[in-house]
Amino acid sequence: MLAARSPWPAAYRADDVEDVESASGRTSVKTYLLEAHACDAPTRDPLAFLKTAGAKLGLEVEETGDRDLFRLNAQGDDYWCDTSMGRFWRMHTTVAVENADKVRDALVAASPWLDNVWLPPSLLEELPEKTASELQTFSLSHDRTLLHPSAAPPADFDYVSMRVWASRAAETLRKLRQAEVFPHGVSIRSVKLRADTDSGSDEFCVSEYFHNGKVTVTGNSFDVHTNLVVNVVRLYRSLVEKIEREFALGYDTDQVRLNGNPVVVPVEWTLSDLEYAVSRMFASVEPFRLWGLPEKVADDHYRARAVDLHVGQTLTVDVTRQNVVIQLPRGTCGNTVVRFLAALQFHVNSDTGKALLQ
Amino acid sequence: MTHLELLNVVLTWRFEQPGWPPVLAHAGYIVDAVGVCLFLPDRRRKIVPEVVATCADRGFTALIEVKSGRNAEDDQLRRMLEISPADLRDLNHLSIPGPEKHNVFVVYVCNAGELDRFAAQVNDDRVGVVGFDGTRYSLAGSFPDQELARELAAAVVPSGGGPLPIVPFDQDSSPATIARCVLPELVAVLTSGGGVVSVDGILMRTHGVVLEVMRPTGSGSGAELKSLRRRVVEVINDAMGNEFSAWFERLSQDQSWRFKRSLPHDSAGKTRDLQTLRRAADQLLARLGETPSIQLTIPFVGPTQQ
Repeated sequence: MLAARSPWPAAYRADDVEDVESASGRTSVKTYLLEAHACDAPTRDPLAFLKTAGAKLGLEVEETGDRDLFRLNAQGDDYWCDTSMGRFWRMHTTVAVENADKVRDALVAASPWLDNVWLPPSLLEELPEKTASELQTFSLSHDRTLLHPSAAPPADFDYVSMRVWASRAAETLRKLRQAEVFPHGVSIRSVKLRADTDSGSDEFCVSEYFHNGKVTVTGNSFDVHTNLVVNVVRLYRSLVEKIEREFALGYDTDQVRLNGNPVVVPVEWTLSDLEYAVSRMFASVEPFRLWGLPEKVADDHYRARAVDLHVGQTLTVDVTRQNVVIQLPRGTCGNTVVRFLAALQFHVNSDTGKALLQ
Repeated sequence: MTHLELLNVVLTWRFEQPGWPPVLAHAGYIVDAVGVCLFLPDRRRKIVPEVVATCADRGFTALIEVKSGRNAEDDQLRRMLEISPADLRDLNHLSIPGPEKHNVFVVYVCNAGELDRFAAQVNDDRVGVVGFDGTRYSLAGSFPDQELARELAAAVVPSGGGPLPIVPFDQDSSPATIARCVLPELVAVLTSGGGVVSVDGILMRTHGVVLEVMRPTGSGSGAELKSLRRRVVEVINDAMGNEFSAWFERLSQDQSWRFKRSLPHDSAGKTRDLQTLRRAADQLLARLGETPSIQLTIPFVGPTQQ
């Protein structure tokens, strides 16, 4: 349905090096990946939830012939919200990116029950292999300035921000890592993937996946895009559900037994002032967005019971020179852990928690 | 160590933590329950051991009880020894394969300095005592399962940091310790748009794993849980009457509170209010005699995300 309504841009050219994300006025398809929280949340009834949230934002919400697909209209612009993958929603639109971003941001801000899907750098890097697509472009964003005082510069470098177009992007990325040009600082912010149909026809899409769940798409097949995006959501869903299954502390009423374990993540810190970093982590601001009351419990050992402001749920975090330990209470979303580790990958060490996030 | 600290030490036997050997897992045990009531054969009386763990392969169930005082309770011990493998299976729904070949035994955990005193009080071949000195476990009494005894004797904990606060506070904790755990729960409810918060709702979050631990053994009066509730209510009412007076008020005589205001919808306003709440919490902690949280004053720079 959406494909028929979408004014697809001209076919992709190999030398098209425009940054799709910042291309104002472009009308290519954008898909926003959203996570609607489970656990007795109002998002269990997507239509009622969207109508309530939409009313605050001036969005009209309508049912469609598909019971899982809803049409949102904002001042004449259409957004199509597909809720067929449970708590993981996809919102498609062809609206200009600057307007579409605003609607997505407003929708997420309107309720604690809806959040972006935050794709961690290590998962973004794995997408080409795990989705059988071709990596065409990637961008890096690693910024250590937020977590250290200006008087105590971090090891090696302050920040990296770059976008690489290369004929063999995957190989370039591998060489960049091996050469250790930016030690522990290769944090993937976005990847542009080309996917083709298996049938041998010339149908394809080129999609750029950003860490905040935004996907911008060019190409000639919405079906290929849909297949790819569903694969990506499945990978993310499997990651979040694995964390909830293995680590959420509490009683599993189905198995009638105690489950879970603290999440222990070794960290090689790239900063010297751990106390400054901890105080910044729990100060209610980006990038961690955690409200907490951190205390020093031993030398180089800090602890905070914190509120994840994205979702309004609590967790306990212990930070030491060797590791970060997270107690995730049963009922707190696994994406809280994903987002926390992603923030460490973007701002401390790009290799932190890779094993867990794969 | 306090009872709470010893309880969290015992929980390291189940919950993996850096430096703390999960001795129950190493000895092949699966923890069936933490703080769950077990009914005795008369189906009326009950016991609430802190941890119930079973090794199906070797046919053992350990009822583990933390003792921070100086004396074992004779009545409690008698009741624990009264329960049979068949009772565990038939009355308490634990998975006990072949109860006729299964053994139930009791493990008391105490401070190392009290080990000999406890061992002298529990003269039974189904009762072992474990003393903890901060780095090692020492054993006394009888351990029917030698494998578990070996794991405990071999376990070494690095000195320094304590165990994780899986149980974050109890009725004997300081007001500041309770406030550190309870205030984030209030902020969580405020952030998620909830208008009312109850003491039981808070305890479900802070003590979700082990809430039943606080129930008393035998009488069923719930005295320990009542004490815990009372302490939480005291801390919240204290906050409500002082630093948080602008934020919430008590709902009649219930153990619940209503928020007087909600967080603004705009990101800048929300962050400003959250930082105000941080300052209020730190003032409360300082008044309660505890060092305020480590913090910085960070200006909010805009609604960008990562």
